[in-house]
Amino acid sequence: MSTALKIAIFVCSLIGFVSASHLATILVRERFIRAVDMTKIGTVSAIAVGLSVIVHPVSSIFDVWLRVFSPLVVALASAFLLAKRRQTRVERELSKWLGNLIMRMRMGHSLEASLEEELLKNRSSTRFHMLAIVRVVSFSPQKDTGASSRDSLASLPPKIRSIAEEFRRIHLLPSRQIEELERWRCRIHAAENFRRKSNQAMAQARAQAAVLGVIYVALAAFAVVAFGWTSVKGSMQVSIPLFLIGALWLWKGTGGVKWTV
Amino acid sequence: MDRVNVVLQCLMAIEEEVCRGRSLHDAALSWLSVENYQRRQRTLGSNDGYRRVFLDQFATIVRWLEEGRPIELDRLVGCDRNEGDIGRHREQLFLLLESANTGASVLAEWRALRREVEAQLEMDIKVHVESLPLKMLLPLLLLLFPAFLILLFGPITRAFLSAI
Repeated sequence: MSTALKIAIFVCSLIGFVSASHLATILVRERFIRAVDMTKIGTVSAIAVGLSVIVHPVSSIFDVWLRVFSPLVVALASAFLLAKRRQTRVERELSKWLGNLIMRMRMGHSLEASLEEELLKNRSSTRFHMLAIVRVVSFSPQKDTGASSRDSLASLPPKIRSIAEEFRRIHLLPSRQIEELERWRCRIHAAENFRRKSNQAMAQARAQAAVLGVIYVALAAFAVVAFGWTSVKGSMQVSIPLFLIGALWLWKGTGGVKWTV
Repeated sequence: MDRVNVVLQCLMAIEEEVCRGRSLHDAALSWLSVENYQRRQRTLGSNDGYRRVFLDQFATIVRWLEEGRPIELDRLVGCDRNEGDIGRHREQLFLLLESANTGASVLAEWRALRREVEAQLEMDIKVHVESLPLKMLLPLLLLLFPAFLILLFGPITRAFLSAI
């Protein structure tokens, strides 16, 4: 194996380690996974790697990198994406929940009862976070010392925690709970409205970059099939960097609005 | 509210707190502490410089008001990216904070300022969207189009030259 390849594999290993560590830090910070669970994942991963080395002996350094980092990075990235998706969905559905809660409360139900009814009706992936929010409201200091509520709050991801705190604050109000919920909904609508307009500016450039990416991959596949790998290899060495820089420029460079406020 | 402009976010959050019965100064302090906490937690984004400058200016104004000093807008200019001017909206915002500190009721003016900022931001978005086709043309012509040409015509030219 050449020195250049060894250095490349070493760099890949570093990237793998840094990616796994970065993802793990985010997962723990956002409270998607507890630090204790992360230790367990690391232990299980190490045992699995050890077993795989015993069953199939390592043939190259690249093989070591693949076995050690690939499963860990893939597992952590999947957990991260899933958790983020669920959290985003909660934020997106919050406005609808508030509308339903306001309707129920106008019919004479309390906030807590309305939340519980809404939870019973919820069959989507957001149910887990909603349950956590209902728990925070149910254990609010109106009912007990507040210790359970604080514990429930501390275990939530920051964005869900802020939603739960807002519900809890409104639940503790002696009156005007519906007005507070309506005001919250208005605030969410205003933010969503602005975000949509702001995203509209970026969506065009990003859609174009994505479509060009698909066309490029298809064209590259066609070129390899039609002309053969040896004749395409030289062109690709120039073409791929050009395309990547261009796509990145299109993706990033045209995105930010220049605010004058 | 990740993508909401920080000035608008500030105006909306403080207005909300004032409507709940808090003083403008308390609401400003509370918003600043939450924002600073989130800023420490957040990774750097494309608009982070803009956000940081506003937060620094806002924090300076709040500190001056707490110390009982008059606000000196000229001294804020140094940390702004738009050299020589902090912008009339920010100026108005800081002056309203100062007025509220003396006990005046500024909620109506605050709401009017929020609406004005919303209108200005929509204008900024509109200008940006209008300038996009031209901005997108540069990477397309300089990099992406040549990349496609090289990928497609590279092997053909090579085959042609070897045939000759």
